[in-house]
Amino acid sequence: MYLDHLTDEQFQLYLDGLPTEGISDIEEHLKTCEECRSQLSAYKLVYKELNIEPESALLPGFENAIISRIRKKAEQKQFIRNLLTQAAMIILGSTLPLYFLLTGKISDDLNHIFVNNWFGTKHLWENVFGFIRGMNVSTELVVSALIILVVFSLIERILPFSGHRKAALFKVF
Amino acid sequence: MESLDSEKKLIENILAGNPDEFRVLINQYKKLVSHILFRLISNQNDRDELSQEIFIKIYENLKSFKFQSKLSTWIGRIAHNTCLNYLRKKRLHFYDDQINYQKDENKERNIRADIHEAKSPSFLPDEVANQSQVSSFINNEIEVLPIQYREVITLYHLDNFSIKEISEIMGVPEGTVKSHLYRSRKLLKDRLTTKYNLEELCI
Ligand SMILES: [Zn+2]
Repeated sequence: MYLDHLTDEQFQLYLDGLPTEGISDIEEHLKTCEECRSQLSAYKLVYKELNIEPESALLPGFENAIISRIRKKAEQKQFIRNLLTQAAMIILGSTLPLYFLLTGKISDDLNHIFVNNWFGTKHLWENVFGFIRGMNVSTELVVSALIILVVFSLIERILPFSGHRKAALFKVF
Repeated sequence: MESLDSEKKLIENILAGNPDEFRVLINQYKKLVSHILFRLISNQNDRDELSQEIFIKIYENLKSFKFQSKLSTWIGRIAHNTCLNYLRKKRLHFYDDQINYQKDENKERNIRADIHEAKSPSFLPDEVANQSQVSSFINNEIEVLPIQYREVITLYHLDNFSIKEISEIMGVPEGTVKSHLYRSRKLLKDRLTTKYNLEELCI
């Protein structure tokens, strides 16, 4: 024997087909050595089995269950989100008027409305606008935006519009 | 392999909120997940449950995937971790592994002794080799390999991952992957040549 037998590393490198420096030496040795040729065929049988695609471990249609679970979770999330927005709107919708009522002279004016006459009402409105005018511009904008937002979302909630009717409504504007 | 652009588009579509787009991703990667389940989990009910858990995890974490690795590697890692957590919970993993590992050390030594014997002229093969017998023999031997060996040979031979990618999926050093790959294939070859006469296998 003028050359050592091939090592397991060499057999594996050879079959993996990775670029190896000694590839021609390996091939040369295989030509002359029956022992290594048998080892190589044993390795080839192992590789063949390792490369065979096994039966799927997944049931056919398993993805339907996944998709419906994802859908259900998304719906639950949406439900909670809706609940939270409604709660937020109720809080905003009730605190904003209260805030106005309890600030400044507006509460006094309310008394006038119930007790008195048209002048009382006129006073109330003057005070509301006076109140807003009294604020700086940015607060004024925020408060107005909040009022508009609350009113719009309340309208949207209260009126049973379907999707396309709502879209038609917004087209008008 | 899918190109990076089409993968990005796919992820965008899924994140846009259409669960049906997720079907496309499932179809692209179900083979990979199936391979990992096939080699790591033996019970069919557990496989069903875990396949759902894996894909739902993928869906829920898709937002955080920023192409720091290939999508396939990322999905492989989720599948690997889910299976291992599950096995740990069942307390099968460490226990079984330790035993298997020691068995392998012993088996390897025994095999060497057997091979030595086989070279003596008194040796006679205990069975005549035929293709389907050889095939089922090798597959049985694969099943009793340690779990890490099974995972490495699957990811390497069936999913064509590189050593580096397998090390990312399994969270072990590249050297460990290389040695698992080398040792598992050598073990399988040694068992085969111990069981069957080499000349017969040449046919
Ligand atoms: Zn040789």
